[in-house]
Amino acid sequence: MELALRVLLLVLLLDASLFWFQRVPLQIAAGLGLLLPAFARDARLWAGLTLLTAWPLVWNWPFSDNHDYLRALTALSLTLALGARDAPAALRTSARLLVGGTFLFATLWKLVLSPDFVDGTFFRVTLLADPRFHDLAVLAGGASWETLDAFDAALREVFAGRPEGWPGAFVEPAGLRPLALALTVFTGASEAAIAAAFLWPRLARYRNVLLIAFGASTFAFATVRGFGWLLMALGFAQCAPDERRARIGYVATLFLIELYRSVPWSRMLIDALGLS
Amino acid sequence: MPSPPPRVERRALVAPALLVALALAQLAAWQCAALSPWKGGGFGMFATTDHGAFRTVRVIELGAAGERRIALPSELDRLHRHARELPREANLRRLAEALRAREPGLGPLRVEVWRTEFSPADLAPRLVLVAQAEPL
Repeated sequence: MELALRVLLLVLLLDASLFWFQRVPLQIAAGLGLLLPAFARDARLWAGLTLLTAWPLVWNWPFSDNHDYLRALTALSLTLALGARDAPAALRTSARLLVGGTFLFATLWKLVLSPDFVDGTFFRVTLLADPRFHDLAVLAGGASWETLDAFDAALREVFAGRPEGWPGAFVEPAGLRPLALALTVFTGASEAAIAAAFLWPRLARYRNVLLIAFGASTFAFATVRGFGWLLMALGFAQCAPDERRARIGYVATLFLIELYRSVPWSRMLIDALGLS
Repeated sequence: MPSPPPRVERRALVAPALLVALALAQLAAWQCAALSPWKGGGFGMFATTDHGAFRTVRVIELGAAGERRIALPSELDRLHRHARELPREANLRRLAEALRAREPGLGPLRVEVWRTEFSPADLAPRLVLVAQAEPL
């Protein structure tokens, strides 16, 4: 449990809120918890962290990202677990259910409530419109930078009230549909599998491998670092005492997610392949 | 005889229960007030193109000579984003009032929020009205 507390404090320290007046108090509290191990085990620290992570949700409503909510719920689960008769077990249960619940609702949104996800349109558009996915569109979707610029220009025309500006010079690359289909199937299947594994005891043995694989693959392009870190920290926290290899896997993936963000590996690959 | 499985302490279920409650509340806000699926703690991110980047807020002055689109100044960015992410009438009204406070000479206003649907066939975008309020 000591290690889980430290990993969670590290995540809170490194991925705090956007505004300085929300971020600095949280970082001071998390930093003190990291420096003073007895303080890290004190439920009052975690109650304070719960308040410091929860009030920005109200202040920023409705702009906070989903992992901001998960961060506050994680701090709350620690506050309550530390007062439990069996604190490590309470933390494992909370962390497991938080991961399972997160992926259950993510799956509900993707596979039930969003027809544009199921038919592949979401990823076709996102690969073209979201700069975080542009490298993937060029590397594996047959897109060129000119295609991406043309899509952007044609969309701007429509948003400016000139629908006749569509499609302009934009032509969807032939490779985009298969890539979007693969991403749709992979994302939908992996998120549903993680939800099932974390919520259904019969699938418990697949939990760690599924969540680590998700972290190592998804966040290579979807560089939502804070969400990735939080999921890996929760994965770590729900590990049974004898799951040492899984805990190492979670920490390694946590660092890998940071590497994905800090090293422009996909752009280097594009340059090396002469696709730029 | 095998020992019974350990009882889960209720306090371990509080945060997960809150997660479920928040996610259900987000679904309700999406249904009733067109909250962006990406916002509100319901984990609808990366599920649909219905999010802020593909939503448009238009403020239109309803003059005697016809309708005129009013540009939104950057000072009203927070209210603009409020209207875009959660286009309930109160938010649209607040945006119109702030605009009128800056430009008292404006006539009656209509505020519209549109989302973008993309054709599965050729990705052609189509604007769909999400919410509107008038006269403000």
